[in-house]
Amino acid sequence: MSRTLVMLLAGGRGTRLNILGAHRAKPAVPFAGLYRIIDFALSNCMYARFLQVGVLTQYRPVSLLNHLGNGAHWDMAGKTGILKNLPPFQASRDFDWYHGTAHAILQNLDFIRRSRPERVLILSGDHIYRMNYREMVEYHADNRADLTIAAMPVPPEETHRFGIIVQDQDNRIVEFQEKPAQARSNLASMGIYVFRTETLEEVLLEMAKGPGNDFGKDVIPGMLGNHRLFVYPFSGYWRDVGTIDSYFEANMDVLRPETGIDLSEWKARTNLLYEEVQSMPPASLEGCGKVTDSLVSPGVRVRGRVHHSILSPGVVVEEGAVVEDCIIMHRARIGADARLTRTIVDKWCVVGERAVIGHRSPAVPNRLTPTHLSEGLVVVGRNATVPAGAQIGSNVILHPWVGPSDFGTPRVEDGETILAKPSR
Amino acid sequence: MKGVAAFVLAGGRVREMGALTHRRAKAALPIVGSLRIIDFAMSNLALSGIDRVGVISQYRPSSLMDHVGDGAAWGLVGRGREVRVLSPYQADDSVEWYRGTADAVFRNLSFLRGERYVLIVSGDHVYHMDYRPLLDAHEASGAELTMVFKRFPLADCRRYGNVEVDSQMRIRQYIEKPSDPLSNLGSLTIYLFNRAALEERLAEVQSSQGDIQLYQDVLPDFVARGTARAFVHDGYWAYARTIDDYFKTSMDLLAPDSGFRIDDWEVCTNVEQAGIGNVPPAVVGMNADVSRCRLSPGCRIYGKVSSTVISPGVVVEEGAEVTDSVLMHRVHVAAGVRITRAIVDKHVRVAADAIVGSSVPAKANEELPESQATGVTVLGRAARIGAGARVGSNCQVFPGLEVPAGGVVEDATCVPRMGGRP
Repeated sequence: MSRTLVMLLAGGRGTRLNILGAHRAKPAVPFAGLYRIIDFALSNCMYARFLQVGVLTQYRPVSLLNHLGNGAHWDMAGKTGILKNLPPFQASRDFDWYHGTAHAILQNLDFIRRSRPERVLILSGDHIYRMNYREMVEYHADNRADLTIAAMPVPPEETHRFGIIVQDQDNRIVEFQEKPAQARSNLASMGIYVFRTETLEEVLLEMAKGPGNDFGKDVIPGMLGNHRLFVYPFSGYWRDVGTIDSYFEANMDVLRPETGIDLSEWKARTNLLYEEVQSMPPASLEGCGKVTDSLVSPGVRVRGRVHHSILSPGVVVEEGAVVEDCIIMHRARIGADARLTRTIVDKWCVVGERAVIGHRSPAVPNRLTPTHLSEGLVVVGRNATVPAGAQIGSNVILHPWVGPSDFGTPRVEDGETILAKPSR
Repeated sequence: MKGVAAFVLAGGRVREMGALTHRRAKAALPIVGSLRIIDFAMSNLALSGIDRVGVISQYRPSSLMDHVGDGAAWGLVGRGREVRVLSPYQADDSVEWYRGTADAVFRNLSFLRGERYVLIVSGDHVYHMDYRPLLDAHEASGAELTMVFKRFPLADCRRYGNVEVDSQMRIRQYIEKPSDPLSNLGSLTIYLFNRAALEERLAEVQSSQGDIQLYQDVLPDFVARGTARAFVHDGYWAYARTIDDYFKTSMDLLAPDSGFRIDDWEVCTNVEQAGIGNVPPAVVGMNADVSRCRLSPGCRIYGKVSSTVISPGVVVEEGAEVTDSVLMHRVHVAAGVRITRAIVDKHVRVAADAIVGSSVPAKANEELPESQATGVTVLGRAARIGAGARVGSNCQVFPGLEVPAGGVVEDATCVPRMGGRP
C-alpha cells in the first residue's frame, strides 16, 4: 500500500463560484471558517497515510501554495512525505498548459515514473467529503483491477452533470457515460481514480496520439472491454461546491451534523500558520454580543448579534450589527448597526455602519450572471468596502475592491452588480 | 536583537497553586483557553527578535518540552535560531538539582554562544513587552544590569522586589518584598545582564552553601557597585502566584478595560499541543445562551454560559449553566449542572445536576488560605463529579479524584486533605 502515489488535481477555476473563485483556485476557497476546500482531500490522504502527493496547479495558484506550505500540516514533509507542486511547464519537446484532467497527469508522467509507485490515486481538490482512501486502494488490489472509480448514487435530475456508470453484479464497470442527456443509471463518478501505474501510463500515451485530454470523456470509455474496471461504492456526505448556492448550502450543512458533515468527527486539518490563525486568541463575545447556531473561529470578536452563520478567523461584528444566515470570511469587519442577511462576505471586507445587505424575498436574479446567482444570496468580493448606510438588495454581486466611489447611489437594487473602477 | 540570548525561568514546583500545579509546571498552566502561560514570554522574545532561548525547568519538564517543541510555533527555528529546554544534568563535579535561580543559570551558561547580553525572564507572567527598548536603554546607560519595573500602588510593592532610584534611574537600593516600600516600583523579574559581568558574579557565588538566587546573591552585588539601572514598563502585567491571582487574570481577559488586550498581542502557541490542530471552529448551538466569553476552537456550547473562558474541546450540554469560570481542555459539563466561580482543569467530567462553586463567599481554603480566599473552586485534572454532587466554595478537588453521585465537598476544604503532601 505504501507504493501509492497521489496526484491531486487543484488547478481548476471555480467559474460558477463567480467572484469567490476569481482570485484563487477553487481548492483554495475558504470553507467552514477555518478550512480551504482542498483540506478535505489532503486530510483524507493523511489519515490514509498516503503521504506522497503531487498537486497539479494552474489557475491562480498563489493563495493555494501559501496554504499548502511545505505540507507539514498534513504530515507530508520529512523523510516519508512530500507535497509537491506540479505546475504546467515548458520542455524541449512538448509543453503546454493543462487542457484537461488526463492531460495534466500525462504532462507529469516523469514525476510519476520517478516515484515508481505501484498505483496512482487521482483526486480532485474541489470536493467536501471524508473517505477512507486506503480501503479503496485495498479493494482495488483485491480485485486486481486496472482502474477503480469511486462512485455514489445521485438524484436522477442531476445525472447530466456527472460521469455515469453502469455496473454488473460484481461491481465491474460495463458502461461509462460522460454527462449524459439520457442516463442509464444514477451511479455517478466522484472523479476519484485508482490506476495501476502501468495501465495509467499505457492509456495516457494512447490518448496522446489523439485529441483527447479528459479521463471522463476520452480515457475511461476507451478502456471498457479491454481492462478490468471496478466501481468502489461510496455512501456518505460528498459535495462538489461548484456553485455559489451549493457552496452556501454546504457551509450551512456544517451547522447540522445530521446532514452527514460532522467536522468534529472528520478531524480535517488545515494550515493554521497561513492567515496567522495560529497567533489569534479564542473568539471573544463582548458586551451585548450574542451568537447562536453558528461556527465561530479564533480571533473573532462579536459585539452584535450573529445567528446561523459561519465566522472565519479575525472577523469583527460591531455593536448593534445583526448577521443572519451569512458566511463571513477572514478578517472582514461588520460595522455597527449593519444588518446582513444571506450574504457571503469575502476576506478583508469592511461593511460600513448601518449598511443593510440582503433580504429574504428575492425578486430578480443577478442580471449579469443569472445562472450564478438567483436564490437570493449576496456576494461581497474580497477587500470590498460597503459605504455606511448603504442599502443592498439580494442577488447582488459587489466585486472585489469596490469602494464607496464605485456606488452611484447608496441604494443597490436586487440583481445589480457593482464593479470596481478599472484602476485595479 | 543580535547579541542577546535569553533564559526563561520556567520554574520549580509551587505549593500555592494546589491542585492546578499538582504534577504540572506553573509555566505550563493553560490560560486564555488555548494558550499556556509560558506563551507570553516566548511570544515576547520572538517579537523582540531574540534568536536563542533556553527554557530552564526542573519540575516535571515533560509537558513543557512537548509544548515548546522545536520552537517553530514562535518562529524560533532555522539558521542561528533555537529553543532548548534545559533540564538539570549530572557532571563530574556536580550531581545536584538546581539550587535556585542563580544556580540554574550558572549551570546552563554553556548554552550561550558568546552573546554580549543575557536576558532572563520568568515563564509564568502574563504581559506583552517588546524588549528592544530595554536593550537600547541598557546600551545607552552603560549599565551592567538593567531590571524592569512596573509602577504599582505603594502598598502592593510589598509583594515585589522594590528599589530606590536616582534621577538617572540608577538603582541605589534594592529590597526584596519590603514591609515598608521605598518607591512605587515593583520588579517584574526581567533582567538584562552583560554576559561577562553575570558570568563573573555567578562564579563567585557558586562556592556558597545552600540555595543561590538571583534576587538574593546576584542583583544586590550589581546594585552595590552602582552598575544596575531600572527600566519602567507600564503595560498590563499579571502573574499567577496564587489560585486567586490566576482566576483574577482570567477574569481580566473578559473585562473590556483591564488592559489585558490579548487580541492585539499576537501571542503564539504550539497548536498541536494546544489541541487545536484538527478541530473545527467553536460550535454554538441553536438554543445556547453565551455572553462575555472566550470560545476556543473545538468547543461545543449548547447551554447557558457567561463570563467564562472556554478551552478547546469543551462541551457544555443544553440545560447546563456556567458563570464566571474557567473551563480547560475537554471538560464535559452535563445537562442540569451549575458551575459558578470555578477553575475546572482538563478532562474533568461533571455529571448531570451537580453544583460546583458558589457566588456567595465562604471562608478561605483551610489549607491554602493565602492562595484561595476569594470564593474560587478548583476541580483538578480529570476529576469526576458525580450526578447531583455538590462542591462548595474555596474548595479543591485534586486531580483524578471522584466525588460520588450525590456527594458533598464542604466549603473551604481540599479533597483529599493536602496535609501530608510535600
